[in-house]
Amino acid sequence: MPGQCREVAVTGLGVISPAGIGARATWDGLLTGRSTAARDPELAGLPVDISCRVPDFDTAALVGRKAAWRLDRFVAMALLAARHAVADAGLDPTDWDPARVGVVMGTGTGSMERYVGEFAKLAAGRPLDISPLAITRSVPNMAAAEIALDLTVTGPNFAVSTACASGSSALGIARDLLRSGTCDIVLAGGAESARHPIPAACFHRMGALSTRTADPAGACRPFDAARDGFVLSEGAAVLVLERPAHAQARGARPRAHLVGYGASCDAYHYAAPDPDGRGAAAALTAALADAGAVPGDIDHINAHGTGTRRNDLAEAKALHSVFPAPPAVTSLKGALGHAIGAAGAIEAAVTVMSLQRDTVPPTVNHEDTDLDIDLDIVAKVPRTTAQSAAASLSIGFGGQNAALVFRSA
Amino acid sequence: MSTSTELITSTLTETFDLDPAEVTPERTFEDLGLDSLALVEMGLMLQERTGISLEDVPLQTSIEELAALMDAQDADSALFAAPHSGA
Repeated sequence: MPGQCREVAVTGLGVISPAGIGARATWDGLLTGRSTAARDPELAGLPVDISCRVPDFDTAALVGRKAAWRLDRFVAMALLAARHAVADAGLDPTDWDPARVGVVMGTGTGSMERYVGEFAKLAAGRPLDISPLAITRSVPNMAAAEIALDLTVTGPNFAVSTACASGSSALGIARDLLRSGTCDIVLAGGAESARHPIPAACFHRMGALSTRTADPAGACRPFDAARDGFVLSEGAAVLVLERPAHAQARGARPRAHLVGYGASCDAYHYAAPDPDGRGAAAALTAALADAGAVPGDIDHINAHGTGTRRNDLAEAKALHSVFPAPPAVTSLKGALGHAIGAAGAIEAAVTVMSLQRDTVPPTVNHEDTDLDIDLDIVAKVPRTTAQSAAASLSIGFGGQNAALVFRSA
Repeated sequence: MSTSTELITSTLTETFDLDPAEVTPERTFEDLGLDSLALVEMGLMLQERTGISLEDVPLQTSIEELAALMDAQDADSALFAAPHSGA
């Protein structure tokens, strides 16, 4: 077994987001500075009937009918993102040792849609009509399992569920599988499609969703003084993480390196973040230490930035406590909404692209920074700035936090 | 080809991406590469379309055998329904 390594190479990206299908489509969409939020017919009749939806996601057309019949939407998105990432990395599955390839995927909810549909049969007194695939189609581990099945990889295979930090946590755990020498390659990220009336109604009742429904595109306003919540979203991202020696041996050119990971739990409240941001700060501090970096090394932070009053204030406190002079901050949630368990992975992929292009995408809908937040928010338009390192922070219900540090390749 | 045979065939080709040339009436579901879970799922799809309940169909059943089973159940349903619907 190969020895340990400190950093890992990011050699491929696959992103499915409301800005489009593909990493390039997502990046280009973000640079337009426009929100993807719109009225969602599937949420009709609810107090909040807007979402950010992946456009033109036809499962059968995109992943093939042979697989589509048993894949729920979040699994199909994960599968397509994985295929994109493998192709982007220039990997040929016939060339790798399948036992040395792992998969780690994060998701927050799995597929509520499937359970609700099947429950309706039970409620109607038809228990024998419940699909034998009700479980295998919808449980959280199926994103990772179906990726392995599709690519015939037999290494460690995990699902990670840390609510809105799931995608970031998955990347950190994948990093550890490479660092320890357990794997040569790990496909890691997150997938979620929680644009369903139950999570929509639930998040609304929690006070987490923006109620600016008359103006969907202007609804989610991260770090803005007038913020009132997030917009539900969906999507998936998979990153190909690889041991640097393995990438080098096959002549792959990394897009960036994942050099630091930190995780923590607030242990404060089941939904609200610690108001002082102590857990988020601990995750960031751990990620910096893991990377062997000091705060001044970080050129930009891809923040969690949900646009809820509590998250953004707590997160700002965390950033101020870790960084004597916080670097440029952006939140993608104004543009892409909040894809729950996929959000951290999509944001990590965008952070990698940001480093490659020395460009920080804008925080859509950010007009006036809350005085209590006082951060250098990259607002409205992209900012071109030389970067050598960036951090991506995710904060989940349950107080679960994850931070990642990437360096330019 | 009976209506039931056509319905089974179209469900197989549309849902499982099978080559229509391969989906001939004498083929069994096992021949066509379905597993037991896929077969139950297909039965539920057919039930949604026809109202006919299909349980415990073996994988070794051919398309034409299942079609015959469906046609027989359909006839039974019609017989039971007749006294009421004919009033």
